[in-house]
Amino acid sequence: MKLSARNQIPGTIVAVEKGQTTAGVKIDVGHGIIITSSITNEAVDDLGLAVGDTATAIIKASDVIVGK
Amino acid sequence: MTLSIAVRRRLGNFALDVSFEAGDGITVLFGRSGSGKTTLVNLIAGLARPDHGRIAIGDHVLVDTERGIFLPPPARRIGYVFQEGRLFPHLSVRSNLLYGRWLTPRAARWGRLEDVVELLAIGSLLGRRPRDLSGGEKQRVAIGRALLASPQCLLMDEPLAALDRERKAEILPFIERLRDEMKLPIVYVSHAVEEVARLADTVVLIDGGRVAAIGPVGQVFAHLDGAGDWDVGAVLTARIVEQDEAGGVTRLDHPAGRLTVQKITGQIGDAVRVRIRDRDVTLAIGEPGRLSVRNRLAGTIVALDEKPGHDVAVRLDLAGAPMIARVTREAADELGLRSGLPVTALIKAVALDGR
Repeated sequence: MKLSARNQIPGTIVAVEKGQTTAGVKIDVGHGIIITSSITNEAVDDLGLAVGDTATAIIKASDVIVGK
Repeated sequence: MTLSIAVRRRLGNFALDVSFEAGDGITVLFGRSGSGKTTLVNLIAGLARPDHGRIAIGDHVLVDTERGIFLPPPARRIGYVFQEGRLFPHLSVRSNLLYGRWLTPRAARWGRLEDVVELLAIGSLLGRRPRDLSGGEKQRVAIGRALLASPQCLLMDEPLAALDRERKAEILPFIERLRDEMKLPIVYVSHAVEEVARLADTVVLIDGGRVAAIGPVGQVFAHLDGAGDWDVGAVLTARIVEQDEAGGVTRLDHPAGRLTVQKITGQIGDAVRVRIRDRDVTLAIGEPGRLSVRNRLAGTIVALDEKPGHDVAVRLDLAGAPMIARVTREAADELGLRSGLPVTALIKAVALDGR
């Protein structure tokens, strides 16, 4: 599989918090950095996401805000 | 009834030269400010004269420069809804509604107070004064007043532009009913993509005083060069196939694939329009694999449009429906994007605007 999204950051899932329809998934990508993702509960179930799993955070370049 | 327009008018350096026909339902005039939309509306309403041309509703000729015909606004039988309701502050809602009616000859009246009140759900407002109405209620009354004049055509000039998001959401279903239940050509001026995606039967894209494109909303929006201006990716028409109450989502079927959106109201089988922003689309080559993205639409690349300083606009064909995806030049090179290549368009579920 090849994706157009420019940022693909591998890490380890440290939290999966399901809400009413969407879930917050926290991925530790190293260097003390946690990336938080909001995805549907359905996607969590489908992928069987659980704490300790390896996962990749994928972010479109146009969605990245730059601070300095 | 069909509104036929073929007019030319010059204003200083600007020249308006348009012709098109608008049948029953909503025809949206869409374009940047300064594109000529307002000039065109003024010509239809009779607030300005064309240098050349003809405007008619069915066989009721409003303007014909060849034959020296120019009907003044009251003789045109056109209902006008402005951005601001412009209700009479000293009159009750009932009197405001009936004001329009008195201007119409008895034999030509078709609008009935009870029907209009029911259509717009304004029965409980009849005794109030305009100052006691919310912005959305004022606009519903203004629409009612226009309808009770029994017009042959309705002109709506940015009718929701002054309302906040919630008031807009409150009034949109009434405009949809108007569109679906009235046998009336409605010319609707707007530059709000969301509104147009939801309401338009036909879109007339006006650019530099000319008709740049005309057709169903999905087709016309695919002609727009997004490049920061409108950010339109696609307007897809899909059918509701499942209401998942527990999951809080609605599932839609489109020929290019299944879509999951946050819960929208509607019955199984209803057709709905879904607007997708070009920046919310990620392209995948080959099997996308195990991703959290719920929405995967199969398509083929039609063309790549590039402009210096902008990301690449990738034009796709999704089972006949056009879509634009915006990706970086680097991504386009790395994936070897080219016309004819089959791709999967990935759209995050939460990024969809349903209705």
